Amino acid sequence: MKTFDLLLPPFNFRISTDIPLVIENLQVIYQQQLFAANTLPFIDYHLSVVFTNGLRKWVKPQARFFCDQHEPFKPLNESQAFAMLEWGMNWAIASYEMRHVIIHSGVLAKHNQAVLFPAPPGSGKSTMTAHLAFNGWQLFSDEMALIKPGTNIVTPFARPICLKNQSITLARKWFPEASFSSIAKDTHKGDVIHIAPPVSESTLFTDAPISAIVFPTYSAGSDIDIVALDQAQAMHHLADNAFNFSVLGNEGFATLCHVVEQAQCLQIHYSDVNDVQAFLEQDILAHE
Amino acid sequence: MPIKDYLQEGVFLHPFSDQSGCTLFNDRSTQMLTLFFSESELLNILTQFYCDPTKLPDDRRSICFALLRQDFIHPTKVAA
Repeated sequence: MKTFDLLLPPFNFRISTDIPLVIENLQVIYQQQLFAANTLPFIDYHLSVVFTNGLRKWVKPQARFFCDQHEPFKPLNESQAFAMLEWGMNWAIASYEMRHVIIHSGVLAKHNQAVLFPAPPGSGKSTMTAHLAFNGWQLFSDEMALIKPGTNIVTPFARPICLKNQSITLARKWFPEASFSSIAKDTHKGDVIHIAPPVSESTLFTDAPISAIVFPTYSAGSDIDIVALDQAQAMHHLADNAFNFSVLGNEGFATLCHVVEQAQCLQIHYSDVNDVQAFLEQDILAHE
Repeated sequence: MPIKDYLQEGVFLHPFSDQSGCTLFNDRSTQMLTLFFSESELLNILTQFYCDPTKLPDDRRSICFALLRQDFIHPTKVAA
Protein backbone atom coordinates (compact mmCIF):
# COMPACT_ATOMS: atom_id res chain seq x y z
CA MET A 1 0.00 0.00 0.00
CA LYS A 2 1.35 3.46 -0.93
CA THR A 3 0.14 6.73 0.55
CA PHE A 4 0.48 10.22 -0.86
CA ASP A 5 -0.50 13.75 0.13
CA LEU A 6 -2.13 15.70 -2.69
CA LEU A 7 -2.18 19.49 -2.69
CA LEU A 8 -5.34 20.63 -4.48
CA PRO A 9 -6.07 24.12 -3.15
CA PRO A 10 -8.26 24.88 -1.30
CA PHE A 11 -8.13 21.27 -0.06
CA ASN A 12 -5.50 18.71 0.91
CA PHE A 13 -6.16 15.04 0.25
CA ARG A 14 -4.39 11.94 1.58
CA ILE A 15 -4.65 9.07 -0.87
CA SER A 16 -3.79 5.45 -0.19
CA THR A 17 -3.73 2.81 -2.89
CA ASP A 18 -2.34 -0.62 -3.68
CA ILE A 19 -3.18 -0.34 -7.38
CA PRO A 20 -0.12 0.34 -9.62
CA LEU A 21 -2.33 1.98 -12.30
CA VAL A 22 -3.53 4.58 -9.79
CA ILE A 23 0.02 5.32 -8.61
CA GLU A 24 1.23 5.78 -12.20
CA ASN A 25 -1.65 8.10 -13.10
CA LEU A 26 -1.27 10.18 -9.92
CA GLN A 27 2.39 10.75 -10.80
CA VAL A 28 1.65 11.60 -14.45
CA ILE A 29 -1.32 13.89 -13.79
CA TYR A 30 -0.45 15.67 -10.53
CA GLN A 31 3.37 15.85 -10.73
CA GLN A 32 4.43 18.80 -8.49
CA GLN A 33 1.23 18.66 -6.42
CA LEU A 34 1.86 15.09 -5.24
CA PHE A 35 3.94 14.59 -2.08
CA ALA A 36 5.03 11.77 0.19
CA ALA A 37 2.61 10.98 3.01
CA ASN A 38 2.68 13.33 6.02
CA THR A 39 4.25 16.19 4.03
CA LEU A 40 1.23 18.50 4.17
CA PRO A 41 0.42 20.00 7.59
CA PHE A 42 -3.26 19.06 7.62
CA ILE A 43 -5.55 16.83 5.56
CA ASP A 44 -9.17 17.60 4.63
CA TYR A 45 -10.11 14.26 3.07
CA HIS A 46 -8.69 10.75 3.52
CA LEU A 47 -9.38 8.66 0.42
CA SER A 48 -8.33 5.22 -0.72
CA VAL A 49 -8.67 3.12 -3.84
CA VAL A 50 -7.81 -0.50 -3.25
CA PHE A 51 -8.17 -3.91 -4.83
CA THR A 52 -11.10 -6.05 -3.77
CA ASN A 53 -10.15 -8.97 -1.54
CA GLY A 54 -10.24 -12.72 -2.15
CA LEU A 55 -10.56 -14.34 -5.54
CA ARG A 56 -11.61 -11.04 -7.14
CA LYS A 57 -8.06 -9.77 -6.64
CA TRP A 58 -6.86 -12.31 -9.21
CA VAL A 59 -9.83 -12.91 -11.49
CA LYS A 60 -11.05 -9.78 -13.32
CA PRO A 61 -9.71 -7.58 -10.52
CA GLN A 62 -11.85 -4.75 -9.24
CA ALA A 63 -11.18 -1.51 -7.38
CA ARG A 64 -13.04 -0.11 -4.38
CA PHE A 65 -13.17 3.56 -3.37
CA PHE A 66 -13.36 4.69 0.25
CA CYS A 67 -13.74 8.13 1.80
CA ASP A 68 -12.65 7.48 5.39
CA GLN A 69 -14.58 4.26 6.13
CA HIS A 70 -17.46 5.08 3.79
CA GLU A 71 -17.79 3.32 0.42
CA PRO A 72 -20.18 5.38 -1.74
CA PHE A 73 -19.74 3.46 -5.03
CA LYS A 74 -19.90 -0.14 -6.14
CA PRO A 75 -16.54 -1.66 -7.13
CA LEU A 76 -15.37 -1.01 -10.70
CA ASN A 77 -13.02 -2.76 -13.06
CA GLU A 78 -9.34 -2.19 -12.19
CA SER A 79 -8.82 -0.24 -15.46
CA GLN A 80 -11.31 2.37 -14.18
CA ALA A 81 -9.61 2.78 -10.78
CA PHE A 82 -8.03 6.19 -11.45
CA ALA A 83 -11.25 7.60 -12.93
CA MET A 84 -13.02 6.24 -9.85
CA LEU A 85 -10.60 8.14 -7.61
CA GLU A 86 -11.27 11.38 -9.55
CA TRP A 87 -15.04 10.88 -9.31
CA GLY A 88 -14.58 10.04 -5.63
CA MET A 89 -12.82 13.35 -5.03
CA ASN A 90 -15.75 15.14 -6.68
CA TRP A 91 -18.15 13.13 -4.56
CA ALA A 92 -16.30 13.97 -1.33
CA ILE A 93 -16.32 17.71 -2.02
CA ALA A 94 -19.94 17.73 -3.21
CA SER A 95 -21.01 15.76 -0.13
CA TYR A 96 -19.02 17.38 2.66
CA GLU A 97 -17.85 20.86 1.63
CA MET A 98 -19.89 23.48 3.51
CA ARG A 99 -17.60 26.51 3.35
CA HIS A 100 -18.55 27.26 -0.26
CA VAL A 101 -21.70 27.32 -2.34
CA ILE A 102 -21.08 24.66 -5.00
CA ILE A 103 -22.40 24.75 -8.55
CA HIS A 104 -21.87 21.94 -11.06
CA SER A 105 -20.00 23.99 -13.60
CA GLY A 106 -16.80 24.48 -15.52
CA VAL A 107 -15.01 27.64 -14.36
CA LEU A 108 -12.31 29.54 -16.21
CA ALA A 109 -10.88 33.01 -15.81
CA LYS A 110 -9.03 35.57 -17.86
CA HIS A 111 -7.87 39.05 -16.80
CA ASN A 112 -9.02 38.05 -13.28
CA GLN A 113 -12.64 37.69 -14.46
CA ALA A 114 -14.24 34.29 -14.06
CA VAL A 115 -16.84 32.74 -16.35
CA LEU A 116 -19.07 29.87 -15.19
CA PHE A 117 -20.15 27.18 -17.66
CA PRO A 118 -22.92 25.24 -15.88
CA ALA A 119 -24.14 22.43 -18.08
CA PRO A 120 -25.42 18.85 -18.02
CA PRO A 121 -23.34 15.96 -19.43
CA GLY A 122 -23.15 15.93 -23.23
CA SER A 123 -23.18 19.71 -23.63
CA GLY A 124 -19.49 19.86 -24.59
CA LYS A 125 -18.57 21.63 -21.34
CA SER A 126 -15.36 19.69 -20.70
CA THR A 127 -14.13 19.97 -24.29
CA MET A 128 -14.64 23.72 -24.18
CA THR A 129 -13.01 23.89 -20.73
CA ALA A 130 -9.96 22.02 -22.05
CA HIS A 131 -9.74 24.26 -25.13
CA LEU A 132 -9.84 27.47 -23.10
CA ALA A 133 -7.45 26.14 -20.42
CA PHE A 134 -4.83 25.43 -23.08
CA ASN A 135 -5.41 28.75 -24.87
CA GLY A 136 -4.60 31.41 -22.34
CA TRP A 137 -7.39 31.00 -19.80
CA GLN A 138 -6.84 29.96 -16.20
CA LEU A 139 -8.65 26.75 -15.25
CA PHE A 140 -10.52 27.06 -11.95
CA SER A 141 -12.38 23.79 -12.33
CA ASP A 142 -13.84 21.43 -14.90
CA GLU A 143 -16.51 20.19 -12.50
CA MET A 144 -17.52 22.58 -9.76
CA ALA A 145 -17.57 26.25 -8.94
CA LEU A 146 -16.68 26.94 -5.31
CA ILE A 147 -18.26 30.29 -4.46
CA LYS A 148 -17.55 32.14 -1.22
CA PRO A 149 -20.89 32.62 0.59
CA GLY A 150 -22.28 36.14 0.42
CA THR A 151 -20.04 37.10 -2.51
CA ASN A 152 -19.66 36.50 -6.24
CA ILE A 153 -16.05 35.36 -5.71
CA VAL A 154 -15.05 31.94 -7.00
CA THR A 155 -12.10 29.98 -5.60
CA PRO A 156 -9.86 27.90 -7.89
CA PHE A 157 -10.06 24.12 -7.52
CA ALA A 158 -7.99 23.13 -10.53
CA ARG A 159 -8.25 19.42 -11.23
CA PRO A 160 -7.66 17.22 -14.27
CA ILE A 161 -10.23 17.69 -17.02
CA CYS A 162 -12.36 14.62 -17.71
CA LEU A 163 -12.88 13.97 -21.43
CA LYS A 164 -15.10 11.34 -22.95
CA ASN A 165 -15.30 9.30 -26.16
CA GLN A 166 -14.72 11.44 -29.31
CA SER A 167 -13.28 14.30 -27.22
CA ILE A 168 -10.31 12.07 -26.34
CA THR A 169 -9.09 11.95 -29.96
CA LEU A 170 -9.72 15.67 -30.34
CA ALA A 171 -7.75 16.51 -27.18
CA ARG A 172 -4.76 14.36 -28.21
CA LYS A 173 -4.71 16.27 -31.53
CA TRP A 174 -5.17 19.71 -29.95
CA PHE A 175 -2.78 19.29 -27.01
CA PRO A 176 -0.06 16.78 -28.00
CA GLU A 177 2.27 18.01 -25.25
CA ALA A 178 -0.25 17.59 -22.42
CA SER A 179 -0.15 14.81 -19.81
CA PHE A 180 -2.96 12.28 -20.22
CA SER A 181 -4.09 9.55 -17.85
CA SER A 182 -4.65 6.00 -19.06
CA ILE A 183 -8.06 5.43 -20.70
CA ALA A 184 -10.80 4.09 -18.45
CA LYS A 185 -12.77 1.98 -20.91
CA ASP A 186 -16.49 1.22 -20.90
CA THR A 187 -17.42 3.30 -17.87
CA HIS A 188 -21.02 4.47 -17.41
CA LYS A 189 -19.91 7.59 -19.34
CA GLY A 190 -18.19 5.60 -22.10
CA ASP A 191 -14.41 5.76 -22.53
CA VAL A 192 -12.93 8.36 -20.20
CA ILE A 193 -9.55 10.04 -19.91
CA HIS A 194 -8.17 12.75 -17.63
CA ILE A 195 -5.89 15.48 -18.88
CA ALA A 196 -3.64 17.57 -16.62
CA PRO A 197 -4.39 21.27 -17.10
CA PRO A 198 -1.66 23.88 -17.29
CA VAL A 199 -1.48 25.36 -13.78
CA SER A 200 1.02 27.66 -12.13
CA GLU A 201 1.57 28.04 -8.41
CA SER A 202 0.47 31.68 -8.43
CA THR A 203 -2.89 30.97 -10.09
CA LEU A 204 -3.76 28.01 -7.84
CA PHE A 205 -4.54 30.40 -5.00
CA THR A 206 -5.99 33.45 -6.80
CA ASP A 207 -9.76 34.01 -6.44
CA ALA A 208 -11.74 35.92 -9.08
CA PRO A 209 -15.16 37.59 -9.31
CA ILE A 210 -17.72 35.96 -11.60
CA SER A 211 -18.28 38.17 -14.67
CA ALA A 212 -20.47 35.90 -16.74
CA ILE A 213 -22.54 32.73 -16.59
CA VAL A 214 -22.64 30.88 -19.90
CA PHE A 215 -24.95 27.89 -20.43
CA PRO A 216 -23.32 26.07 -23.37
CA THR A 217 -24.90 23.56 -25.74
CA TYR A 218 -22.86 21.81 -28.41
CA SER A 219 -24.77 21.50 -31.67
CA ALA A 220 -22.75 19.90 -34.49
CA GLY A 221 -22.54 21.92 -37.69
CA SER A 222 -24.41 24.94 -36.38
CA ASP A 223 -23.34 28.58 -36.39
CA ILE A 224 -22.81 30.16 -33.01
CA ASP A 225 -26.10 31.36 -31.52
CA ILE A 226 -26.02 33.59 -28.44
CA VAL A 227 -29.09 34.45 -26.40
CA ALA A 228 -28.98 36.85 -23.44
CA LEU A 229 -30.88 35.49 -20.44
CA ASP A 230 -32.69 37.68 -17.98
CA GLN A 231 -31.93 37.17 -14.31
CA ALA A 232 -34.99 35.03 -13.58
CA GLN A 233 -34.17 32.68 -16.48
CA ALA A 234 -30.55 32.48 -15.35
CA MET A 235 -31.56 31.67 -11.77
CA HIS A 236 -33.93 28.99 -13.01
CA HIS A 237 -31.10 27.27 -14.91
CA LEU A 238 -28.43 27.88 -12.26
CA ALA A 239 -30.52 26.37 -9.47
CA ASP A 240 -30.68 23.11 -11.45
CA ASN A 241 -26.89 22.90 -11.19
CA ALA A 242 -26.48 24.01 -7.56
CA PHE A 243 -25.38 21.24 -5.16
CA ASN A 244 -25.54 22.48 -1.62
CA PHE A 245 -27.30 25.84 -1.45
CA SER A 246 -30.17 24.18 0.39
CA VAL A 247 -27.80 22.90 3.11
CA LEU A 248 -26.39 26.39 3.56
CA GLY A 249 -29.93 27.78 3.87
CA ASN A 250 -30.63 31.42 3.22
CA GLU A 251 -26.91 32.19 2.96
CA GLY A 252 -26.62 29.84 -0.03
CA PHE A 253 -29.79 31.21 -1.61
CA ALA A 254 -28.63 34.82 -1.16
CA THR A 255 -25.26 33.91 -2.70
CA LEU A 256 -26.87 32.48 -5.84
CA CYS A 257 -29.06 35.59 -6.16
CA HIS A 258 -26.02 37.84 -5.75
CA VAL A 259 -24.05 35.91 -8.39
CA VAL A 260 -26.90 36.19 -10.90
CA GLU A 261 -27.35 39.91 -10.17
CA GLN A 262 -23.66 40.64 -10.77
CA ALA A 263 -23.04 38.54 -13.90
CA GLN A 264 -23.96 38.67 -17.56
CA CYS A 265 -26.00 35.55 -18.30
CA LEU A 266 -26.02 33.88 -21.71
CA GLN A 267 -27.07 30.73 -23.48
CA ILE A 268 -24.72 29.73 -26.30
CA HIS A 269 -25.31 27.10 -28.97
CA TYR A 270 -22.04 26.38 -30.78
CA SER A 271 -20.16 23.90 -32.88
CA ASP A 272 -16.73 25.54 -32.82
CA VAL A 273 -15.08 26.33 -29.48
CA ASN A 274 -12.94 29.01 -31.19
CA ASP A 275 -16.12 31.01 -31.88
CA VAL A 276 -17.05 30.88 -28.20
CA GLN A 277 -13.56 31.92 -27.14
CA ALA A 278 -13.52 34.86 -29.57
CA PHE A 279 -16.95 36.04 -28.44
CA LEU A 280 -16.09 35.86 -24.74
CA GLU A 281 -12.75 37.63 -25.15
CA GLN A 282 -14.09 40.38 -27.40
CA ASP A 283 -17.57 41.03 -26.07
CA ILE A 284 -17.85 39.77 -22.51
CA LEU A 285 -14.58 40.24 -20.66
CA ALA A 286 -13.46 43.76 -19.86
CA HIS A 287 -9.93 44.22 -21.12
CA GLU A 288 -7.15 45.33 -18.82
CA MET B 1 -50.36 44.68 2.72
CA PRO B 2 -46.62 44.08 2.14
CA ILE B 3 -45.70 40.92 0.28
CA LYS B 4 -43.77 39.47 3.22
CA ASP B 5 -47.05 39.18 5.16
CA TYR B 6 -48.24 36.61 2.63
CA LEU B 7 -45.08 34.52 2.98
CA GLN B 8 -44.66 31.73 5.51
CA GLU B 9 -42.05 32.10 8.22
CA GLY B 10 -38.63 31.06 6.88
CA VAL B 11 -39.48 31.99 3.28
CA PHE B 12 -37.15 34.49 1.62
CA LEU B 13 -37.98 36.48 -1.49
CA HIS B 14 -35.49 37.98 -3.91
CA PRO B 15 -36.89 40.30 -6.60
CA PHE B 16 -34.43 40.55 -9.50
CA SER B 17 -33.19 44.04 -10.30
CA ASP B 18 -33.97 43.67 -14.02
CA GLN B 19 -37.68 43.13 -13.15
CA SER B 20 -37.64 39.75 -14.92
CA GLY B 21 -39.07 37.95 -11.94
CA CYS B 22 -38.39 36.92 -8.41
CA THR B 23 -37.25 33.84 -6.63
CA LEU B 24 -38.45 32.31 -3.37
CA PHE B 25 -36.57 30.08 -0.97
CA ASN B 26 -38.15 28.08 1.82
CA ASP B 27 -35.54 27.64 4.53
CA ARG B 28 -37.52 24.83 6.18
CA SER B 29 -38.17 22.63 3.17
CA THR B 30 -35.09 23.98 1.26
CA GLN B 31 -37.24 24.32 -1.86
CA MET B 32 -36.51 27.14 -4.26
CA LEU B 33 -38.88 28.48 -6.89
CA THR B 34 -38.32 31.09 -9.57
CA LEU B 35 -41.34 33.03 -10.79
CA PHE B 36 -41.39 35.13 -13.93
CA PHE B 37 -43.35 37.92 -12.24
CA SER B 38 -41.91 41.09 -10.78
CA GLU B 39 -42.44 41.62 -7.05
CA SER B 40 -45.31 44.07 -7.68
CA GLU B 41 -47.03 41.65 -10.10
CA LEU B 42 -46.68 38.86 -7.54
CA LEU B 43 -48.14 41.10 -4.84
CA ASN B 44 -51.16 41.86 -7.05
CA ILE B 45 -51.66 38.17 -7.80
CA LEU B 46 -51.46 37.16 -4.14
CA THR B 47 -53.79 39.96 -3.06
CA GLN B 48 -56.33 38.81 -5.64
CA PHE B 49 -55.82 35.18 -4.64
CA TYR B 50 -56.56 35.87 -0.99
CA CYS B 51 -59.62 38.04 -1.86
CA ASP B 52 -61.25 35.85 -4.46
CA PRO B 53 -59.16 33.18 -6.20
CA THR B 54 -61.93 32.47 -8.71
CA LYS B 55 -61.30 35.85 -10.34
CA LEU B 56 -57.71 34.96 -11.18
CA PRO B 57 -56.85 33.44 -14.59
CA ASP B 58 -56.33 29.67 -14.36
CA ASP B 59 -52.56 29.76 -14.85
CA ARG B 60 -52.02 32.32 -12.08
CA ARG B 61 -54.39 30.58 -9.72
CA SER B 62 -52.55 27.30 -10.22
CA ILE B 63 -49.25 29.04 -9.43
CA CYS B 64 -50.77 30.32 -6.19
CA PHE B 65 -51.96 26.85 -5.27
CA ALA B 66 -48.47 25.53 -5.99
CA LEU B 67 -47.04 28.17 -3.65
CA LEU B 68 -49.59 27.10 -1.06
CA ARG B 69 -48.85 23.38 -1.48
CA GLN B 70 -45.12 23.98 -1.13
CA ASP B 71 -45.58 26.09 2.01
CA PHE B 72 -44.31 29.32 0.50
CA ILE B 73 -47.48 31.27 1.40
CA HIS B 74 -49.94 31.15 4.29
CA PRO B 75 -53.00 28.93 3.83
CA THR B 76 -55.27 30.70 6.30
CA LYS B 77 -55.94 33.91 4.42
CA VAL B 78 -57.46 32.25 1.36
CA ALA B 79 -61.10 33.28 0.92
CA ALA B 80 -63.58 30.52 1.67
